[in-house]
Amino acid sequence: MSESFAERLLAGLSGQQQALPGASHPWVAALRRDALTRFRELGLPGARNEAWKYTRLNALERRSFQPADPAVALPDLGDLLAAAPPLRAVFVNGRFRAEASALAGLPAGARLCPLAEALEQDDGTLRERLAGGVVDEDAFGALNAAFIGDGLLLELAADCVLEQPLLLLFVSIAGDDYVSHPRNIVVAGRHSRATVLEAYVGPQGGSYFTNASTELYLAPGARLDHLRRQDEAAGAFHLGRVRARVERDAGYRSQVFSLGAQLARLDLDVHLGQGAECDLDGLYLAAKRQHVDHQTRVEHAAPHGRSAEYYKGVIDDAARAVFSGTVLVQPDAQKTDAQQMNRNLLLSPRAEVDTKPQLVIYADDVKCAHGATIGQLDPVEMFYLRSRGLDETAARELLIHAFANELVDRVADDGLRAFIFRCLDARLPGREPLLEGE
Amino acid sequence: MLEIRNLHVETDGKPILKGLNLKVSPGEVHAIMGPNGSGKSTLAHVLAGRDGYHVTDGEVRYLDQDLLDKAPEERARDGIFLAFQYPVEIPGVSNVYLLKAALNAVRKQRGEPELDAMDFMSYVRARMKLVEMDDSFLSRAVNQGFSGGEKKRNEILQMAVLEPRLAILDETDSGLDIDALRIVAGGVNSLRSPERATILVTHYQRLLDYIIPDFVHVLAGGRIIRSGGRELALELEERGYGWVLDQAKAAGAEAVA
Repeated sequence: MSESFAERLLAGLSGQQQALPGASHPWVAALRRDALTRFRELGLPGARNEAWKYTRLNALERRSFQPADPAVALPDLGDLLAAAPPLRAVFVNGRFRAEASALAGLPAGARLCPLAEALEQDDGTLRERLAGGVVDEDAFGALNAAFIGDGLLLELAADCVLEQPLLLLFVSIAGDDYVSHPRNIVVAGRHSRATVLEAYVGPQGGSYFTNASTELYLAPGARLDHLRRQDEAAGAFHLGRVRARVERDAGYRSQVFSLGAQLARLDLDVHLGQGAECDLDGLYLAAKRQHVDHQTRVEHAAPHGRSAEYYKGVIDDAARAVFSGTVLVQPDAQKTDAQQMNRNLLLSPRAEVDTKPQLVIYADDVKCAHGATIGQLDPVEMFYLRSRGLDETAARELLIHAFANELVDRVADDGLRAFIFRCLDARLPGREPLLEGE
Repeated sequence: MLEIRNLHVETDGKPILKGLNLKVSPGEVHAIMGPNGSGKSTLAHVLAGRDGYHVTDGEVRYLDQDLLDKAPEERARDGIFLAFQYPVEIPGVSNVYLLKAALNAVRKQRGEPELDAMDFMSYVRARMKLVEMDDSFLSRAVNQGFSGGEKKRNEILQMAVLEPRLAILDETDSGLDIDALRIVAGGVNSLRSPERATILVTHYQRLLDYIIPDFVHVLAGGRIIRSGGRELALELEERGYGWVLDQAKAAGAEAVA
């Protein structure tokens, strides 16, 4: 089954590679060729692959996907851009659209370049990052590399501060059976600082497939706030991965909001150098028959690192959520402080969650803790609210909002918080506004 | 206003209240005292409508209606307020949001329009003064990270905002230092009125130095074994509960473990 899907997928995309940006550069062609070979070798992950044990790909495998039409008419983005940050790169069906983007006003030392352009121009930074690199061990990561074509390259020189948050908006418009492979690369120089929000949306519906990869390189002392909002169409498939390399004394903050798609998965890998730190927040909402899977892996490779992970999920109807979080502390990584927590709120007897927090520790002087909870709405909290006059439905909605809102409240930037909130609010039952000050 | 007749209540199959009688009229303050495990908090919870209590006999009339048939929110809207012994922390819900939602629910029941944002804020701020809370409380999540004293003051603030007809304070004094106790008592006293009744459930006489009750009842073994005026509380403070229990036993009441 998986072979046939892989072959069918490749058949659908055949000839595409030659048409992709940068095909004339030998290193780009080699990268795509090697990645394609790797994808064929790996095949689609099946039940025997531990990391995919709880996520079956049958629904995806039944489909055939064509390349996305890059020249599609620009949809009306009015609603999507309400409350969006002013600095933005907009992609439609995976292709950069300059006419919808706004990239002016960057500080000196910050460089933004659509990946298609960077590939065509044989960009030095890009070549340094990608040429001859290790091909992804994940089949879909390899697939993304095999069809690397567009996305965004952001490069920050040392000490460069990007004061405004940058939005990368990936809009998929209606039309079944197409696949896009966005690739984003952020190279943050020493002591640089930026906030980047990736948003994947499918406002018109459809059952397309987004296969997105993001690579983040944080040089010593750099700070990156990285938000990721997955709000794909209800029929869509979204497989995403983020790899962050956080060098000495750098700080990475990831805030993930996973709301849409019939099947959604995010693999988040963070590598921490000496004294580096990361905060990983995640919120997933799943209802009806949605399936959402988050796999996180934090590697403490050197001493004095700190990681704090907090993932929460709200699972309703017959939806299913998977969380697997691994913290790996290498022998050299003494004085590591690693915390991990996963909390799940089940709203229906048919909802299901599989959670697997794991610590793998090879150092002996570390502070590590992890935990997971799966529960229903707290009857004591329900009673407290009802005793104040709120009816059962209002109390229930308020508590669900509150459970989810805890993670929205942790978004530091006011504008981004409002932007995230808008889409979250529409996904939660009740839709009662719950903004601060309301 | 409130009439409890022969109330029997079980929880987890274990009888807690065994024939409790109590009558409360508007304007009165009743203190219910008693040793640990006597059923004081059970009474408070049953009146507020908490799940997990099974009424096996007796009845409770409130404003000439059967109280026990009503959902907790209906009781709240009809003017019953329970100040919790252990106020519940609700992360993610701001104090101001809960106050507004609660006040609007109660006002709707009374046939009053919702307050607009400005009127609401001045209404709430006036009541925050009673319990010496500043504006920063409003944006904080309900009771989250509050000290014991702040939680209890927050309960009194909610009560002041909702203006109940019958306020039930469940061990509101426990765990309070003297300053917090004074603030809480001041808040309660400022709400005393001829239309409003208050039931103080407490283990200690100390609270009654600040909120002077009209009646004091001793609850033991699931029923009220003695009632009196304020002087009964002072006597309990001096002599403990032993003598009341002995007298009750001698009078044929059920022994208490």
